[in-house]
Amino acid sequence: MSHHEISCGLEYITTPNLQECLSEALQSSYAFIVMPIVHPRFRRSHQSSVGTVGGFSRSDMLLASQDWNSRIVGKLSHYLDLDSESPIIRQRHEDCLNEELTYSRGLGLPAVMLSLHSTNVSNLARNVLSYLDTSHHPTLIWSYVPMFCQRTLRDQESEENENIEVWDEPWRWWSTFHERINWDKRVGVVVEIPANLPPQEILKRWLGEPIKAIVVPTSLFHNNKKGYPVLSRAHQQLVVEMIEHEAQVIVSGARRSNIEYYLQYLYRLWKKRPYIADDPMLSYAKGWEDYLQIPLQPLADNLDTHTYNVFEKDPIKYDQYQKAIAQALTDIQKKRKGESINNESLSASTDIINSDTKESGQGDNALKEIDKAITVMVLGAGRGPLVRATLNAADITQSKVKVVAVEKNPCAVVVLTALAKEVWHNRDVTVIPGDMRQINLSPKADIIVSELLGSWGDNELSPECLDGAAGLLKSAGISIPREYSSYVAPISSARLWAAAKVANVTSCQMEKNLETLWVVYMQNKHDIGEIKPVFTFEHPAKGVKDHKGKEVLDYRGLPVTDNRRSTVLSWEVKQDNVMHGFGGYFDCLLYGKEMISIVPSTHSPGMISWFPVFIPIKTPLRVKKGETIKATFWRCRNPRKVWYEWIVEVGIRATPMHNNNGRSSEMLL
Amino acid sequence: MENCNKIIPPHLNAEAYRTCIPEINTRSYFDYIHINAEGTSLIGCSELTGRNWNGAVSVCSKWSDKKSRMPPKKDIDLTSGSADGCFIDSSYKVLLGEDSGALSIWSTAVNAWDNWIEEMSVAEHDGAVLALDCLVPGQEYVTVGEDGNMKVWDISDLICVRNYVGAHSRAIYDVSVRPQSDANLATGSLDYYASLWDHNIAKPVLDLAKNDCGIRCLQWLDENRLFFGDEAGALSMIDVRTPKHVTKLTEFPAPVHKICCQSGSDRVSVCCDNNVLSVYEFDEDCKLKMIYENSRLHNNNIRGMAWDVEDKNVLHTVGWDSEIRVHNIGSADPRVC
Repeated sequence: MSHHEISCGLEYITTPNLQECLSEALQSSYAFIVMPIVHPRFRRSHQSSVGTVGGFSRSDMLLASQDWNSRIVGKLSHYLDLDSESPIIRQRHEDCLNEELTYSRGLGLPAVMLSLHSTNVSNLARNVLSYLDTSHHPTLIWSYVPMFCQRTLRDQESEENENIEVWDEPWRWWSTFHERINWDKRVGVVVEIPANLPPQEILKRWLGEPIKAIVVPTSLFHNNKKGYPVLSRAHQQLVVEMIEHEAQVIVSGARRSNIEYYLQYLYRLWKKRPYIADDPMLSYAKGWEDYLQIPLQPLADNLDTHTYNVFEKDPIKYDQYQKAIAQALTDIQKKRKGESINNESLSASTDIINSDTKESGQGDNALKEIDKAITVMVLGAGRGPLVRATLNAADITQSKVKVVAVEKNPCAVVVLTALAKEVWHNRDVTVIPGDMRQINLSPKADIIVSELLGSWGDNELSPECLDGAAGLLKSAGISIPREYSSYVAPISSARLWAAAKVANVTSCQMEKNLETLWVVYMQNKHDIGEIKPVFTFEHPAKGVKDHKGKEVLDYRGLPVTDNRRSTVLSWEVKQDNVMHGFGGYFDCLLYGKEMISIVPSTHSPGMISWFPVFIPIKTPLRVKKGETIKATFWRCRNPRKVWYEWIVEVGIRATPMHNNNGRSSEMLL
Repeated sequence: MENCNKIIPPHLNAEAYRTCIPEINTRSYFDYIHINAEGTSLIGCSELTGRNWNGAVSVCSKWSDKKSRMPPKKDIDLTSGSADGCFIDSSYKVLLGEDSGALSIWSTAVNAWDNWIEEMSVAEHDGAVLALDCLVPGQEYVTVGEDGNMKVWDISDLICVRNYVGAHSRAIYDVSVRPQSDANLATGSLDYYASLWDHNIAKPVLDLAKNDCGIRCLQWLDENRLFFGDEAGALSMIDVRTPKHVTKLTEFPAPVHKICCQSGSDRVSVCCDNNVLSVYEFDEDCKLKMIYENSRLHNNNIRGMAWDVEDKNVLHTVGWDSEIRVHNIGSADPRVC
């Protein structure tokens, strides 16, 4: 929940008296200071004895050790150029870099900041990697880049059309560096906010990067009427957006005003930001941002009471179900009325009003048919929220229902039985323990209601369960839900990718982690393409047809379905980027017009039951503007399990095949 | 260090260090020396490794050759170090660039031995001021800094009259005003570029050279030819009439720190990130001929050089060993003062 607080640091051009500088910053309520580790003009040689004076920097005894390891971000010397063409410079600067890094490690600094100046970063990355590998202290590396490249701008000469290249260039420096160090999550980016802001798509791409901090130069501020430093509206928005993405703020540059004023202004800005707590999803998801979870397998494992407790709290989902059930009940009633009239009188044109008036004078047979209770089976009733929704819907629509709650989890059956006995004793509620795929009940259901969807729609095996339970439904019966689809969009998110890679260290291979779906409230990501549908399932499902075009039936006389799928999707890349995987979503038509959706553009407002999924790819792919990303997804099954496989191709490059034969992740039947 | 010499229990060693108040200056690294027409010298120094990274400047009246001298007393104490400074008009007024990004004007009454007073100070650079030069004596000066910015100042009110934000994409290490010009100047930066500017135009006139590594220093030899030294230790020359064409003159074993051309002659002295001073004569065939080399007078990096105003054969140097040395270029045996 760190992003609820704003954390500001103050960068010192030079720290003549370190103690005074630190106390000045702390007194003005800054959380940390950024300062050079070695005096930036103190050039030293590691080869000669000349010029060595022993100590190359000041004594660490100046500060208490808790200050060193919580208040100081060290800045590496600005002149370091580890990827110079000249071997002698590379060598010299490597020595300086390692001296400064080693010293920082000795001080226990929380973070060390370095600057990137080009995409030539291999030697720098190599040295940083060795440092990280040998460092047991959790020092973070902050890589500073400007947001736009002055040099590219100058080389272009023509100013009139804003060329994207000036904004792409520094991003490329960072992205290349990050790639070279294997997207290590100990390395983040610090980006300087420029005076002229870039196009929105550039900012969006930055928001997908692991931004540790933003540098806000004091030159961005102008003085208001009262003489206090303030930012332009556009800059305010950007700063707030960055802080929402957990970026810290570093105030840097010449002291154009009292340093306290900058901090006070930033605090005010953060406080008066648009209030987000009105969105239940945002307040619910707080603290879960970018936190990876393994998807539930409610079919193979029984859910525990706490999980039920969380999911039952959704204010929207059950409301939608209740509306859908009510609609279904109404439709069945209408249909029955229609049928009874047709049966009774052969008159072709009868409208409903007529039927109502006629109804009172009808014979007993017709009345019986209409008054017969509608059988609603809740399949996978859990602790009964859908039973409650069904009873409510029946009351609202004044229908008579017979509710059958089927549940395989013995613990949930205990709860259901208690509810049926103690709460619903005057209603027609029956609890049937058992697996919906294996039981046989009579009478059959007019409506079956289930909630078996996972974050990626069918990934909790709803299709297999409902097809298995098809024998419980009358031939023209209604299934709620009626149809659902999964969706994906290619995304860039080094943070999610790196987190997924190391998420489950107990699993024997890291590779497995990158062949698994992860449930996560994604924040630090950027969509490379739009969201597109992947797999769709309908219920009741249509059976497969044999070579004569006849529907194939199983031994119970139920249609044989085939829930294997494969889909090829493609996206045109609009902007240079790095693809780390997909964001996965679903939507679902319950009945009539009632939907539930976690697809961002149609997300059911306030529904909190599902976070999206992150589907990683093993090797991040660098994609260029104009290229086409082609992704193929398969849903596979054998008698024991269901799994997904996927592959991504960009031009002649491709990822390996993911999760072949379900070797890394599977859903057990 | 009054309270540092008390008997301190050994386990309070760190606390004692943290809380003791040291003497103002423990040790100084001399960074530059400039000598004006009157023969007065301006010597800037900084503390680069100790407890307080502050700076100081000394102004010394003309010294006679034979007299041996101690390093001069500090006349101006600065809160941060100083990488460059210069006299304004007379020996009684100086312009100083500071590591804090500040630019300040100090002056003293009639004689240089009185107290120096800070007249004005403006902090506008977002990084240390690394070099400065004079466009119009007494009026316009130019500064460059670690922030990649170049600023032209009207020093009568110390107002920045032209601000080249992002003149280079990395630290600008040196600036040199073109001889016989009050508007043209050259900058050299760690972004590998040497650029030519006209202070009436917001954009660079042209990029003189794209080097293969960072440029540390540059200096005009005459109105067309420019020396520059780089991180790899190469000393090169560009002729503005044929820009982008770089002639590599010689290579040193350490990065070239400063170049100092003697006005009205073809002599140029060079110091690097070591204790060797080299003086060359430059002939018309673009060849350098070494006429003097010395590595004995300083025992740490030489940082500043200034030609004597009277004796053409005398060069003054300062270094990180806190010494001021005099080199007699004419003789094979340099004198120690």
